[in-house]
Amino acid sequence: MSDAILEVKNLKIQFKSGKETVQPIRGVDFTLKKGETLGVVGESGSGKSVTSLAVMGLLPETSSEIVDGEINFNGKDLTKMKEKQFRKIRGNEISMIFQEPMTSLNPVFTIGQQLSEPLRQHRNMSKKEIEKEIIDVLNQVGIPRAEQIINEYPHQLSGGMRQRVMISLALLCQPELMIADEPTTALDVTIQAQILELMKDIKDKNDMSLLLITHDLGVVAEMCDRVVVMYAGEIVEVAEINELFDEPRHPYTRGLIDSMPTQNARKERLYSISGQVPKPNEITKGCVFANRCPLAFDKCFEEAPPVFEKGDHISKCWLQDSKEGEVV
Amino acid sequence: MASSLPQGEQALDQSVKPKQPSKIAEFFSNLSRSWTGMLGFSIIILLVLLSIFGPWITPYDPEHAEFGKKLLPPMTDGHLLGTDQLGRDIFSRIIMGARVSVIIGVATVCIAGLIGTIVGIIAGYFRGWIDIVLMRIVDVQLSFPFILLVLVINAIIGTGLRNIIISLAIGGWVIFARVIRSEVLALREKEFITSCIATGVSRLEILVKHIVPNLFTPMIILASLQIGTYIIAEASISFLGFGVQPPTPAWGNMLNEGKDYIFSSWWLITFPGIAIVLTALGVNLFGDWLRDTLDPELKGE
Repeated sequence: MSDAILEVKNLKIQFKSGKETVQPIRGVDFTLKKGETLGVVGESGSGKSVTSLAVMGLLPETSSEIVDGEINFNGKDLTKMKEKQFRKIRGNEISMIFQEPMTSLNPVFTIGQQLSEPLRQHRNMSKKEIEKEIIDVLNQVGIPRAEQIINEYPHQLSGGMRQRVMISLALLCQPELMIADEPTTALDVTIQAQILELMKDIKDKNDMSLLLITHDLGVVAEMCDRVVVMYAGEIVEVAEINELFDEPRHPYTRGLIDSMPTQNARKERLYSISGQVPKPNEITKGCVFANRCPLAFDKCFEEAPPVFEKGDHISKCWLQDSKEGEVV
Repeated sequence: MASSLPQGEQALDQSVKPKQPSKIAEFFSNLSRSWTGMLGFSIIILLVLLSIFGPWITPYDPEHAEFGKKLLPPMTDGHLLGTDQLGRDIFSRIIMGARVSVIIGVATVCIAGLIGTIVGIIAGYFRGWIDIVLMRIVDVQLSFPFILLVLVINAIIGTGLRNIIISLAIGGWVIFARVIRSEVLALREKEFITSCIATGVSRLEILVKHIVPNLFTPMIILASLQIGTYIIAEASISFLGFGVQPPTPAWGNMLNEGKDYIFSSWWLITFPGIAIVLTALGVNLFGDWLRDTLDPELKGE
């Protein structure tokens, strides 16, 4: 595992609600290599966010539990780590950008006060040094007049600006791994493009790895080196970016790609995958996608497909069995 | 308006604010925009001044009885609001009564607010069994009528200024506990708290440094509204003969003593009554204005 920075192995997470337990994550495996941008895509409810929260150790302690599996970060298993050790990693070696820039900043503190938090936690710096560092990073993320911004409150900034502040918050300690949970979903399209461009730049400059969680395949195409497609708490396909778009193996991935609006063909109606992601407690035997799959056959309802590997391209679909050529 | 600056620069120019006005100046400019808030604030200031400088303002000794001058109507013999059944100057007694009201209102709010806030924070932040236990205690206590509860406690621990503060505080902390708990519950699920955990801040630090500062606004609003309640409660209790004991003048016991003369000498009961109404009105008007001003939801508008 020389070049892997994050390795998630057979991760299983359980949620308790009352007496019932559900398993929203059932055996998730993926690796993130150093310097790579890995996209995690899937519909709402597919378990992307839960996976990312698990990596950060942010799952609610009272109602959730990692039942099985490992999350190895630089060879250390995060699931077995004590809270105190974990705190040294959070915000320092791994940091996270959240979906909602509007609510991710504390309304009663100035930007400067909030940005000094990670440095005070993880670095031994004087006030002056902290301020200098913050202004540096704010300039890096393209915030004009950073010297003034640090004395302003979150409500004085626009959504795009706040997301830049959030990115700088994640950048301050120069983490090795940045997790971005739908960082652009709450922003309008023009700002989205700017923020994505910015993240790409910063990632390259600081030699970070990026785990990008999104439901937007456009964003994935723009940003990622490899993609993990999740469905109902399982990984259904992992592939290098071009290969995924050129040759999707899993019918679900194909459905996702087909339901993207394209510029050249004016379709009457956009394609959509019928039905919904099954709730974790509705999953029985067979393939999780079988009930929505246009290509499903008897076997799909009987037996869960294993992982079929072809080089780096991994998929979990019976169609990959034996007669590979048949599937297109 | 008509500016020679290009669009972009103009926008930039607007966003570069001049040095922000001080908090106090901002407070007054906000206050001047609402006449109800201004009225409430004026009444409160007047009340505070009266209770501080009372002894120097009163024209007569409020506890000095002069039987030759009893039950004088207002504006006679130099008695602005008349005299009571023992010939004491009512104007002086009302001024001195303000002191009792202010002390009781403020002291009770401090004690009840402190206890209630601590309980609310513990229950809301740590949840689990401690939340269940504390909130059931609050529920049980809320099922008793406030005045009745205060009277019972007062009857047990005895009358007097200190004891009435204690009994009002015991009766009143539950409101604070309830409100603060629900605020904390809402806050701890906010994304900025998750983001704090994600930057490696410890749980205790999050509570003290990131949640508590967010509680100041609801605390201030609730406290300002509760002061009025406590002042009225004190008056009710003193009226019923518990609480502040004569000859110390308090608006409540002035009402109590004056009620026997209500048909012959109306001024005995009217003026302390007006004082209570004005005080409660002032505090509530101010509290309402504070709520509207400090509510972050309305702030941007």
